[in-house]
Amino acid sequence: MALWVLLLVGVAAPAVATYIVHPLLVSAGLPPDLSAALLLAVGAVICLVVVMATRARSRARIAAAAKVWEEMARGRPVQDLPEGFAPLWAQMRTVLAQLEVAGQALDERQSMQDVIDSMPDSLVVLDANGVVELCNRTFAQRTSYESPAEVVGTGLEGLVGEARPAWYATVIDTGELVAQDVRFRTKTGSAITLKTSGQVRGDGTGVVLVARDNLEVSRLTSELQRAAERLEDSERFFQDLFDAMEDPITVLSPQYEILQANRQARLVFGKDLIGRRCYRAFRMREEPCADCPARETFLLHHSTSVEHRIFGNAITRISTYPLLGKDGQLHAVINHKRDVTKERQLEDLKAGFLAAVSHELRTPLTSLMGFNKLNLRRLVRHVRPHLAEAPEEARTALQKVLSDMEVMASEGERLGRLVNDVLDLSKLEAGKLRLNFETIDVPAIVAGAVQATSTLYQGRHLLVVPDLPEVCPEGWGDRDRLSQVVVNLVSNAIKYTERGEIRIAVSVGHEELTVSVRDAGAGIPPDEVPRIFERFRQAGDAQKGRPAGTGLGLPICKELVHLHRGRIWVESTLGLGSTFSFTVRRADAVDPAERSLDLRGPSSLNG
Amino acid sequence: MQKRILIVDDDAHIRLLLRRTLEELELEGVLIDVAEDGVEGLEKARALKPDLIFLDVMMPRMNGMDMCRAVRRDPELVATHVVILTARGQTMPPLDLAHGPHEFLTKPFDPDHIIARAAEVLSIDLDLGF
Repeated sequence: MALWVLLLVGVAAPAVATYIVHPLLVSAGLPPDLSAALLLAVGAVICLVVVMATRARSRARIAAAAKVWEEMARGRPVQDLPEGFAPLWAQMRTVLAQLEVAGQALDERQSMQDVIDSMPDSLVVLDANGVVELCNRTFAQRTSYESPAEVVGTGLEGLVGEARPAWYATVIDTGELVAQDVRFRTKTGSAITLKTSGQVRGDGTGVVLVARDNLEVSRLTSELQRAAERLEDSERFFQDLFDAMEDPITVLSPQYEILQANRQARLVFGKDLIGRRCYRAFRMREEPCADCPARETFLLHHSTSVEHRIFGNAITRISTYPLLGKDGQLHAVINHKRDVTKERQLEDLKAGFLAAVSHELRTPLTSLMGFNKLNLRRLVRHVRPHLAEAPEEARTALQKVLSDMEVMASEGERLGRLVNDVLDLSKLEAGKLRLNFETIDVPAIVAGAVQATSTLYQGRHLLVVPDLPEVCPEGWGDRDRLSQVVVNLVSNAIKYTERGEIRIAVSVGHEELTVSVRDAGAGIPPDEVPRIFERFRQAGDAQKGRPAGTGLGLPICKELVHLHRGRIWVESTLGLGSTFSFTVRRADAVDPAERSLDLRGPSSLNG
Repeated sequence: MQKRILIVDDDAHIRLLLRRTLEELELEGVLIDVAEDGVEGLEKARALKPDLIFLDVMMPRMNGMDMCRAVRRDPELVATHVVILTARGQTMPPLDLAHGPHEFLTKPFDPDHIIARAAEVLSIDLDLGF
């Protein structure tokens, strides 16, 4: 239609204008040039109008077509399909739907094939005519075929060499076949016997066969046997190991019932241990012992130990360890007893020896220091005044004697401290030190320690600043021992700081309080830091003229803090100073069960 | 009445040190006696009735703790003040000393402290010059 209009306008209109309208206008008296121009202008306007009109129409058509496609793409029924489109469209949709179903079926079939291929047993499905409809890779391999697809389509004749074997008749007649030997033919023509079970398919059209070759059966059986033997071996190994232990070891249930006992335990406590309550079997008591370590392990899931004096002087250490299952739950507790009588006797000897040594050292030390001090005083009070007129030489000599005697006095004091520290440390390491746990005011302890060390920094360019919180929850520990730790750390800070500020802070955490002592000393070289808490390990030189340390202060601090179940550490920057920190548990964060254990003490002896 | 101090220690040098330390009190008229162990110490304590006893702990025959208990039980020695000189770290058995003044001083002791304490116990005003 548009074409016709265009043709008409494009060819006829210029012709009409040139040969009819133009001569008419000229004959009417218009100048020819003006007439031509007028007509050209009219023509141009018409052209423009026509072009505009056709463009508007095609745009509308394109939009309509696009709408149809869009609807189709969305799979919606299209209402205003152009004529002739509707049947085609319906057909196309049917094909698409079929394709989709076929795809799903293919996928399902493939995944089913994957499943049956992964079976260790052979699987064959026969249709109503005894023709293989489906089989798995295991069967194909057993019968030397390349793939299951190669077997599909084979009839009974090809499969077993007979058109209707007896076992097939059995399946068809009875509906099932139980573990019968069936000889299948392989691709190469030989035969393989498989123990075959089968049944008629649910819909009654065909048979499903599951087969296992006898070799496979015996292989599995022997593997199972070997596994059982290995298990038995390993069980015997662990039982032997258990029995070879020279100490009595038992396994206890959370109800204190003895679940297992090794040979030594049965030897010591009797053969009929299993099933008895530990407190009856071991100690002839009617209820669990007051300091039962197993109870602590049941409650807190950690290992622990306690010492009992059982017969006369014999001391037994009982250690318990949690046996946790995969689920993290406690299933049982291992109870291990060891006779530690000899060790304890040795320790007592050592402790006695140390006490004796300390006494023997202190007595001469007392004489040395005492006489030194008396002599100093005599010289100052009774000799020096009379030397005012004596020769210069005598006065100088006296001055030297006095100063040397001061050195003797300070070294004597150091020796005294060393004796104390050695004793403290040996007691700590032998576990002989009992802490007196109670709720404590940590900032007050810190303030007291700062007060106690004030003589060390008076008259020096040092500022000791306690930075204490106004409100502080109570800590859980031994007042005197924690005070000892703070005094030690503050004395160290003073010893190693020439001038500047020493800040002692207490900060409050969720479960613990942290005490930190920051000095302005030379700092500790990084390679020294890991060993700073070892014995006789002093970093660098103390400031000149300060009382020298014993080298045991930090190891003692470490032992004491650990006894409080706290941590101690140092952060140091060379040239800027060091910060020593340790933690004390908050009283409100300590489990009541643990509190009562703390009050009991670390190594109680009772019988 | 003259005041008396009794020194009981098995170590001759400690006895000498204590005597020398207390010399200035002797100048003030205080009498000083010594004993070498607990048995001798108890005899002398009963005989001389001292006002103050400096007593070592670890001694042969009778130790300081036992002697101290005996002194405390003696009604005639109720007023005697006992200073027990002990080495720190020595285990200290509990002393059931319900009555009678006593105290512990740790070795190594400071002579200045000893004489100051003695002067105080005996109520003697002494210019110690320190």
